[in-house]
Amino acid sequence: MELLLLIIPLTVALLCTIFKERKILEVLNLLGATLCLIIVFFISRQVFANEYVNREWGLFYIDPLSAFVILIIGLVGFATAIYNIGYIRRDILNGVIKEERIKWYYFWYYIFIFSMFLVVTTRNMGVMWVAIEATTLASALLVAFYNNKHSLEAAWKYIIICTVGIIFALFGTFILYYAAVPITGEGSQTLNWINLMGAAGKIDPKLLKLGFIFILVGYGTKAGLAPMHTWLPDAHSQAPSPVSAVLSGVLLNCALYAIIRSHLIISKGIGIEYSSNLLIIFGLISMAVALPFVFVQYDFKRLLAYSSVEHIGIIAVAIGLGGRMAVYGAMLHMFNHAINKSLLFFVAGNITQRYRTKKIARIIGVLKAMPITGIALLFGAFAITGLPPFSIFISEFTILSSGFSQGRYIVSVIFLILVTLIFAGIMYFVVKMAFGEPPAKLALGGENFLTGALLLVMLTVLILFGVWIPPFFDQMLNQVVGVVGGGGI
Amino acid sequence: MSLELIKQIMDILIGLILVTPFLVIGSRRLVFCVKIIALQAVLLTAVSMLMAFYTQEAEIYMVAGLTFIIKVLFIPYLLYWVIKKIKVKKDTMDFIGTKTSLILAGMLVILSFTITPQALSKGDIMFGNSIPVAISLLFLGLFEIITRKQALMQVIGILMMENGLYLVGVGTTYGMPLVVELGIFLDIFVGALIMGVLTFQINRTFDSIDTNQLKNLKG
Repeated sequence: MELLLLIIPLTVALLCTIFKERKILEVLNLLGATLCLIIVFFISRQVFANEYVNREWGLFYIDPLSAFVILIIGLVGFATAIYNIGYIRRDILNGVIKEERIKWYYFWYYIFIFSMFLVVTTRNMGVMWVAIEATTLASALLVAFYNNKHSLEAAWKYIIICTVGIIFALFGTFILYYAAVPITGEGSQTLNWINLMGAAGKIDPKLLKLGFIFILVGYGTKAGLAPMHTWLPDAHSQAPSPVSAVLSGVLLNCALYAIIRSHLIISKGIGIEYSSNLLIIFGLISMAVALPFVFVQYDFKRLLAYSSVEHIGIIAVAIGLGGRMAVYGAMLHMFNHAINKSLLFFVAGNITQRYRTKKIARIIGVLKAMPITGIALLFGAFAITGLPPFSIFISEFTILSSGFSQGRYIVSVIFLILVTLIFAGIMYFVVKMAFGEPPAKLALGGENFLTGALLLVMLTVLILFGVWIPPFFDQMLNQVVGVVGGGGI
Repeated sequence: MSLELIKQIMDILIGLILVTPFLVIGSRRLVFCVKIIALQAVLLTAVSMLMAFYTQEAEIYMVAGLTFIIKVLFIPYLLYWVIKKIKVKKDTMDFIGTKTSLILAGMLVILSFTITPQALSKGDIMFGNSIPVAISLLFLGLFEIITRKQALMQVIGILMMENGLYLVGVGTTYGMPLVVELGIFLDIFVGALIMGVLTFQINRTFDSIDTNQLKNLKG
């Protein structure tokens, strides 16, 4: 079954190269996303009912943590597939892209989805590296899709910085492999994270530490942890908006997933302090680095990109804090952020297509010009900055209270201050954009029905999870927490 | 061949590999640099062949063959083709001159020989010298990416880093497991293609491949 998860996106991608007609591509796109989502639901049901998927082929293994990330990829991937249709149509209408090029858009989009599924279904750290590098390669041409000066610059920075960063991660993986070979022998099974966790206690601690540093820096580059985040605002702001949504909502989580796996291996070997502290430090730096850029931002999509840096920092801090409650918060936050940020990037896509600019100063009166998008913008921004009753408030609150109850006062206070300041920064800009009179020449109303419905559904999820976490979801989260790090508060 | 002889040949090969980055750093001619990168890959192939001969493992022969096909034939040919198409000959002025670069590069090599973690070169490794040389390649590749301004030179830097990594694998554990090795080859292959495509597009849009122009996105 988990093989289908890889086969379907790959097949859809290959089919997309054959057809030129926009209608057929749209149908393929919807079909592929729906099939993926069905399989994702099937797999998560299986995994969370304690029947772990485990194939004799040896490369694949899905435990609750991977199933949870698969679920996020599936949901955001599906939402983006719906959004793709309206967005691409509008871009063709505006003359931004030519109709004959959209098959390459869909091709790379599905290759991208395929590579992300590969990251989270494999259990071999080496294959995981290969898959993460593949996500960079697949999305680089998507970032460059508009083919103008800015997008090419962003794509070039993206591919060079991420490839270099990730080479360090491979170096770290080599070190782990080298360290484990005397214990478990040569062969691909040694890089299996289950075996690595088993052997971690006997591995030379020095090598474990060295390997983890390289892995953290490497995958941290991809996850957008500061100070390796420099490619992120460029790539996320220049890519077509649906791609930005996937980059911010899901890809960052995939890189974090790789970091969490390594963190678990290292913690088994030398105790939890070493890697936890590193995660907290990098997390807080990311939150702090995002702050000034949020305050002086001129570009709406860059604003959202820096907010992603902040939220990845939050998740890293929460994983670093450890203990049941913080990890529960981290996982919930991963989910909330994925939904919330992709919603906001959809909004940003609608706005940029209508206003033909990303400059915050020139976007006024969204509520009047595009009522549904405007509502989604306003409430989406409330949610992302952590206001109640939205879901991110719950996850941030969980993380914070865990921090305080563990007695990590300094970390928690810095966390609280940064979150509050960023709230002020983002709301300042969003309120200016949402209210007021739209420019006279701007067309009013006329939003795509499908896109509007999508935005409202996502907004409902954000509110729903803010007031009530469904029992089945709570149970899932608890299972994930069981994998990542039980014990403690 | 006796073990002693294998070790001696290996030392010579590793020494030659260490020379190659200096040729790249000392030169501004793109075609020459591409040839040197191909030469580096030839030397890596030789190292793998020797290793395969020593361990008598079929997997390592296969990896050596793939190294030859992808890193010696395919990628240099691709880069050469791109250079011909976009008609660039010389690198533009860099941050720092050639002399300074060479001196800094020499210091980086000394650094990598001193900091190579003791833990990584314990007695059980057959070819101890390969690790500091591999780490030198990593450093020098990074150095190349940071100091050079031309897009293709940065690609060459990345290839150098990847070669260094390959050498780390060979030197410590006779290479990674085959699945992983195959995946890495695939990534390098596709990566080179995509970077080539991007270089084309950058050249078409900016009329050159000087990355100094890629400085508009800020804040």
